[in-house]
Amino acid sequence: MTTDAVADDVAALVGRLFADKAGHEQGLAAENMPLLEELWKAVAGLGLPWVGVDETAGGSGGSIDDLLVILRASGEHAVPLPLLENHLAAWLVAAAGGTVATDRPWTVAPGTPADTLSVSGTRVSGALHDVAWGSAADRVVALLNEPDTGGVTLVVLDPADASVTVGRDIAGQPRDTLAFDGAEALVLDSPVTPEQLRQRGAVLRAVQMAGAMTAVYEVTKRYTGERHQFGRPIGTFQSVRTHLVHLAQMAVMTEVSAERAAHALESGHDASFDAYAAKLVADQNAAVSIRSAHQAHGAIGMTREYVLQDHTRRLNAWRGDWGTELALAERIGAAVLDAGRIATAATDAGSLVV
Amino acid sequence: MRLEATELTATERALQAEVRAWLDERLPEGSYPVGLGMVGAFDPQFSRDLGAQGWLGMALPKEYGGGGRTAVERLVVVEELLTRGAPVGFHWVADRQSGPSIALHGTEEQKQEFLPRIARGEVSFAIGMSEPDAGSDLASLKARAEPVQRDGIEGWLINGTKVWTSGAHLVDYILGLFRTGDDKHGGLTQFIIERPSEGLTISPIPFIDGEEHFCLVTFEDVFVPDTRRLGEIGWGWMQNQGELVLERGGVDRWMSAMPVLERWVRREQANAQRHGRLLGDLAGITARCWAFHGMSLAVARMVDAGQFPQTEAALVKDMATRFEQECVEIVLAHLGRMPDLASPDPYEALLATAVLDKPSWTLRGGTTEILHNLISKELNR
Repeated sequence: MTTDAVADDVAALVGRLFADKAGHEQGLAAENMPLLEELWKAVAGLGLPWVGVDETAGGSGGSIDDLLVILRASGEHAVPLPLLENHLAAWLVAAAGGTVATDRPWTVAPGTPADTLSVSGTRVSGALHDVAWGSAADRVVALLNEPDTGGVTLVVLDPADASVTVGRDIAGQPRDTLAFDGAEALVLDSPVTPEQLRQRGAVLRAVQMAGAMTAVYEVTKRYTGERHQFGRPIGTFQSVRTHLVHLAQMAVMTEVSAERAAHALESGHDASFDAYAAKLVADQNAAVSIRSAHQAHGAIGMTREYVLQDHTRRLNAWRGDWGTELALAERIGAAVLDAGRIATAATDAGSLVV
Repeated sequence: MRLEATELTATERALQAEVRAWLDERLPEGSYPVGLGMVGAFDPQFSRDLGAQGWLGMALPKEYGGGGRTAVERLVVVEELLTRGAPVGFHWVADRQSGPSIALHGTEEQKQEFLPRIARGEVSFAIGMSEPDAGSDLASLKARAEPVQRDGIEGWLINGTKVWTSGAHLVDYILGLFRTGDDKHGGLTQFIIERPSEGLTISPIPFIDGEEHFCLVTFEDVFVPDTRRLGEIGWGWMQNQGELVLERGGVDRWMSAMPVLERWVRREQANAQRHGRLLGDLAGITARCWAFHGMSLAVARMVDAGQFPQTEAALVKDMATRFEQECVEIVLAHLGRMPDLASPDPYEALLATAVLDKPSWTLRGGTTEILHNLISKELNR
């Protein structure tokens, strides 16, 4: 079987699973609890959260394309689980030679300027901010630059050892602060730098955003086909159709860009520009997608009861993590200005390092 | 609808490097008038030189002098030409549109007559579609071709008017769509008309920037032998739709402003004023150029796989042409004054041209509104 055919099989499987188990009601319910345990068990039972992580490290194996299929579908179905975060944690641990446990979810600290973590031997103290599903996760993985050696340290911590300040992002997903005080940690040397973690987080988040934009398009297409005003479906008015065209365009552009960037991460050449360009495009396209979808829907789209918010709120949340518009734009813009060229930055894979 | 993520292969990158090296030699900065996208200057010698490299008619069959290469390889060459604003005007339409159309629908004699010359960059074409009363609703066109016999030769007498025919006053041939029957779509047929021809009058209509490329073309009893009919009688509409895929899906749809952008970034680098708005604009534009490069490449791969990506091409063209225009607005804002068309500074003059010309980028090859109709129809299928 070709890789494409395997990916198609995975797509059909996860599409069915998410459609059955992770609907609109689950999304609302998830906002009032740390983790939807039943849903996690259903997804974990198939090994999906560890796809793309080597079997030798305890993962489920599978290619980057399999991973993209799962994450894209998780975005399309607004699955309220830390699938991206669990993947990043498992990927880091596997890269550092550790072994992942495939039962409960793990999460990753994205690394914020406010973080204060420090390591002494195997004892860890300090705070980690914006940790998705931080209190519900079995382990949290964080990277630390070692200024003395120039190396990177990976720590695996148990959130049960932390004092937790719970929070929620704008989509109602858990985003907690964990403060440790001399907690015992597994400490490993990491071959992956915080920069590389941010690149992978940016790309895979953009993949989820592409899925969400596809859902926004589908929901809007269905609604404007069913809703009648002035005696006909509103989707037959040219001004409304323009919104649909824009929604399709945003989804298509985000998806193909994010997938190219994901392949670039695997290619061996420097993928910093591809990764951050993909997230910048996703962030900007999300804003267009959200605006057009709500405009086409009218008042019904502004309610919690209606499905559109499952996707537009997540898109807003995801615009705000793993690279926000201004920060990404400054990095890319500075590199473009230093290079003094635009065309070849766009057409020569790996030629611009940002 | 989706596009498959794809990148250039090592062989395609080698072609890219080869084209760059050759253009560095052939078109040093300042040695040619910089054009914006497909409205590059008419330079028959440059077109011949390009043909001699094997970089025209690349996707045409080898037995007719073509390169027998892929749509992607053609895209690689065209990206480099448009980046530099190269003088592509002479061969542009023949290479992109008329050649592939003749290869697909032409008779054996037509293929032998036209394709080798197109691949060598020796002949130029214009497209005769719009009429004074037929624009977006192209199939309502009225210019007629009536069957006649003249001096024992089967042929057609053409009467009517075509308008907005770019380059008609300079080209060797006009490939036009004419009415041969009353059925709205099924009564249209394509003909190849030589310039000059008796009864053919071509009057340039000054463009908004003062240049001449739009033309009014009138046909008064212009005789065209039947051997210059392209395709079957009544198949013109279908053939024309096929040509529009070639016209819409290409890289020329995101690169019109590229010569401006390349000069802009070099000037800003020299200015050494690093501020947030500048960095944000550079980043947004470069990231999107990268995204559009990927999408054009994906469409070209579909063509190479034997698919007919009509909707995908329209979807990309619509976004890309709006993007090109936004780029010019952004660059304009950074200049801080309205540039002068007659400025001694070539950059300012080029930017002024772009400011005036850019509304045409979302008109030619199907307006935004027509594209939206076409895309919506497909999305609702």
